[in-house]
Amino acid sequence: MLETIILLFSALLIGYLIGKYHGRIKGVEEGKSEAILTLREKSFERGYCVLCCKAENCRQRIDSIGPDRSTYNKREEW
Amino acid sequence: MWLEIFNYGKVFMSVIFCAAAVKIADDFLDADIDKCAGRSNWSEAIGRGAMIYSMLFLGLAACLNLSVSLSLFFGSYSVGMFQDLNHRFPTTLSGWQECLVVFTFGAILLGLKIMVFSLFFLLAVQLFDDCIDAQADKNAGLRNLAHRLGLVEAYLLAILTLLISWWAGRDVFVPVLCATALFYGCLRYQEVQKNA
Repeated sequence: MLETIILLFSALLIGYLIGKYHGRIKGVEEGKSEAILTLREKSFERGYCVLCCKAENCRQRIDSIGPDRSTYNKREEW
Repeated sequence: MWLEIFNYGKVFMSVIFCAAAVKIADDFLDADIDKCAGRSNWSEAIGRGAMIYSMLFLGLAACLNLSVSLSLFFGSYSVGMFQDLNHRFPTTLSGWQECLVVFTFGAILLGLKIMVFSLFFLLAVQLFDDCIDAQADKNAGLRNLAHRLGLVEAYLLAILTLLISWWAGRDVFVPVLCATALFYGCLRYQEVQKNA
């Protein structure tokens, strides 16, 4: 009985750790793609770049913090 | 029946004495940190003779139940090393090497099962304590196991290690748990009274 409970708890802990690890990776990727949209949205709302307050090279800078572009499809969608 | 109750009481008292010995020794080592954090410290209250009292309590604990008290002492020494696993100690051994040596000696002299029980039991106590103190230690700038592993992971690991210790030492688990809970409860009560 006790052995079964130990095994169940071990499985729960391992499952939690695996889930957290994968969740973190996925969360970072989603956060990165969300960050571009948020930055663009704020920049359009305010009429200037919220990162540097200038118009130069902003597209490039915002895109540089985005997710790995190899994960994009042909239509540039993530 | 009476013999069982007597043995239960002996283990219970042995754990209380052993816990007092470990608490005094730990307070003696952490006197400066406790002073900065404003925590109660037994060694400060006792004075220069703190380590003598610690040895006295350990001796009393060993008289009552040798294997349980000494294995718990070795276990607490090993778990204490988890904070400084890579630090070099006066023996020229690193933390994890000392931990391994103490565990091996304990297993040879007292038995593997009782050492496994003690190590996992004390790891569980340490994890629960770190989880409870997580916020206070964060404020004091200390990084305990709950911060390193994560709060939920630390709680889950604490329950798992407690179950493993129960499995390893079925015959002594209940009195050891009761004595530890009583001692820990008294310490917490003392802390609350001091901060009130």
